[in-house]
Amino acid sequence: MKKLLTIIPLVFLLCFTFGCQQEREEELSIEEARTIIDDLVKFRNEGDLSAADRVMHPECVIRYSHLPEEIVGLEAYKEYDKMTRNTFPDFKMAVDDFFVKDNKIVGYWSLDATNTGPLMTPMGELPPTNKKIHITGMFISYIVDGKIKEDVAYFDMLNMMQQLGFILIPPQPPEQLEEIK
Amino acid sequence: MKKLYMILPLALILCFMVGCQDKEAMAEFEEFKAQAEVEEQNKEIAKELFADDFSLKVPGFDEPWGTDMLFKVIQSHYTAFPDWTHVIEDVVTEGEKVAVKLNQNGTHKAEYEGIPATGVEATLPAMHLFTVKNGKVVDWFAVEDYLGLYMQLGMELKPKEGEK
Repeated sequence: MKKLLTIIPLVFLLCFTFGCQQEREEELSIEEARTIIDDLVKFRNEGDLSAADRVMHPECVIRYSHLPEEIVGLEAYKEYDKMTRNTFPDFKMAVDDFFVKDNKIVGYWSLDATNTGPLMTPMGELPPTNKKIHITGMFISYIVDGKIKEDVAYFDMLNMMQQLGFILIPPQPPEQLEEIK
Repeated sequence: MKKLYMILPLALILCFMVGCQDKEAMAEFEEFKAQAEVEEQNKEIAKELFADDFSLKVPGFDEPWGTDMLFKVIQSHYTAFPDWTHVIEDVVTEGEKVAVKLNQNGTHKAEYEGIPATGVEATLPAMHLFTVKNGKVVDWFAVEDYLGLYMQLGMELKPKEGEK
């Protein structure tokens, strides 16, 4: 019995460390997350390609709710970034708050920009509106080997289009359009 | 010695459970409950998951929403899309925060925001961030692609008249 009593606390200690060790090992630290976020912001705000190479996984997948398809691969993402800067040359984003769990970063972001370049819309390319936008949204990034492997972002695209001077209208039946003409 | 062998695995299981049980898991569980209950429109149970002073700031509305207003809005959504479902893709919890990455879909069977029923099977990706304190939701920030939803239902984007 004595041997049992001495062993049990040791067993407890062992299991506790073993049981929770795995979770701790895989967790991204706040500092690592901050570095990743800083590099991502540097890339998007300044077009800094070396920051992009540091922070993005070469086979990254980007899912933005306003795009009909995913962006696959870092080269495609760099192209997308160039296009965004073409539409909004003073594009400035910031990550306002974030938290880390395992290999995921979840955060709030905000963006300020002026549309002085051609604007890509579901109706095709339109001339610049010269309007300013301020939008906020959330993101969740999945980190592999210290780089962003998958990035999913959500924001209120309707609000953004309204800021650019668009409104939503019900579909116009062809007969009505004829009458207006 | 035999008794020792019997106790070891039991002790192992016990420690694992006790050692890793944390507040975050509780928050996650509360979140799942909230989603499930709201989905089943079970107002009474769902209301209990929200704190008494729950208040939601919604863009476009001067007054923040309490649970009554929130549930009224959810109800009208379910009237328009009776088979609305939530597909939870990921849940990330840390401390009091529960982030839920999800997709939603349903059939447009009745009038929604002035749009008569179209029968379209609409999808609405979203990200919800809940703050859970003492097992109750005190804050709910939802980012959903409503533009995408409206366009699926046939609405069109046009520049405002007289603005170029």
